[in-house]
Amino acid sequence: MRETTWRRRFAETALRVSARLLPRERTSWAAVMRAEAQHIADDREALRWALGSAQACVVERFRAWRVQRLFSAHSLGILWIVIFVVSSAFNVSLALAARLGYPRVAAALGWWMKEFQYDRFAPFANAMPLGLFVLMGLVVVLFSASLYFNLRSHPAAFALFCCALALSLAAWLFQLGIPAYLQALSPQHRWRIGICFAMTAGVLGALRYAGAASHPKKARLQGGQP
Amino acid sequence: MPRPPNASRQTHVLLAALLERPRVWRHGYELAKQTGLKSGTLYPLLMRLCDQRLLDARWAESDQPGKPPRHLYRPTAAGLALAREQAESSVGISPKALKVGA
Repeated sequence: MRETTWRRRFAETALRVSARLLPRERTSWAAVMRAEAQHIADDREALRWALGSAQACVVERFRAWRVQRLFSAHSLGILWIVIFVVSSAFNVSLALAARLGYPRVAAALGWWMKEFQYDRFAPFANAMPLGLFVLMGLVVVLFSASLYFNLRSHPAAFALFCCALALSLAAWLFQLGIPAYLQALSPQHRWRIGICFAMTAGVLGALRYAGAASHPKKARLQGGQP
Repeated sequence: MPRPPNASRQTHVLLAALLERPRVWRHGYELAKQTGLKSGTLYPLLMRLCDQRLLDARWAESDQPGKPPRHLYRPTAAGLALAREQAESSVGISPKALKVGA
């Protein structure tokens, strides 16, 4: 039996991974590309074919986005969620680095924050209960899941984002109750976070209202009217 | 001004290749070999031509044992009409010049 070479394995992996990029209406083409690659006897040629097919998947994904308008509410929503994913992952990484005693890592991360001082931040990280770290980690997971579902235009994305935001707000309110937090971060920084939460809640509320207005039957049900 | 659909040189090349043996079901790799198109160009074209019902596509058992079924393509009547129309409009252009990468 012929041994599978790295080129063949790489071609299969490229096809498998790129198939996930195809927009929903094109998913059947993944099997077409995979089958065709398997009929090419030469491994080098098969790899070239697979990489070209992967490129086609990327092109189709971008074309689908372009069709749906890149600057639509959907893509802005994605950008917003990405900001939340990055920011929540950053927060938990910074706090963990300080808590676990990696001052260099914490200082490197803190470089991105205005007026960050490790000496003032470390007592806050040490005062944080372990449950809060778990909660912050869960927030990152929920925001990431929301991003994943949003990219696939799945309706669960909205609910997941709301859950993540609510938990994130709960975590922040809890942090506000820790005296060391007030020492660690400037009042301006706290204001910015508060405004960000308020703005996001406002946008979510408006989206919910707009969604209910476009579905009068649903709005009636939610409002309890006959 | 937006470009009319199927006006690209690659589409011309593909349709010209399909016009050579319009009744025969062809697989993607064969079309790629004949036209010189890479799979990254060929597949988006095939997808679009299938969407516009200019191409018929079907799965067929492979003639190689142990290999999965293969996707085959053939132009529809509308596809053939378009291919002929494009072939007539490109009279005077050598097939070599039409070929991708030439």
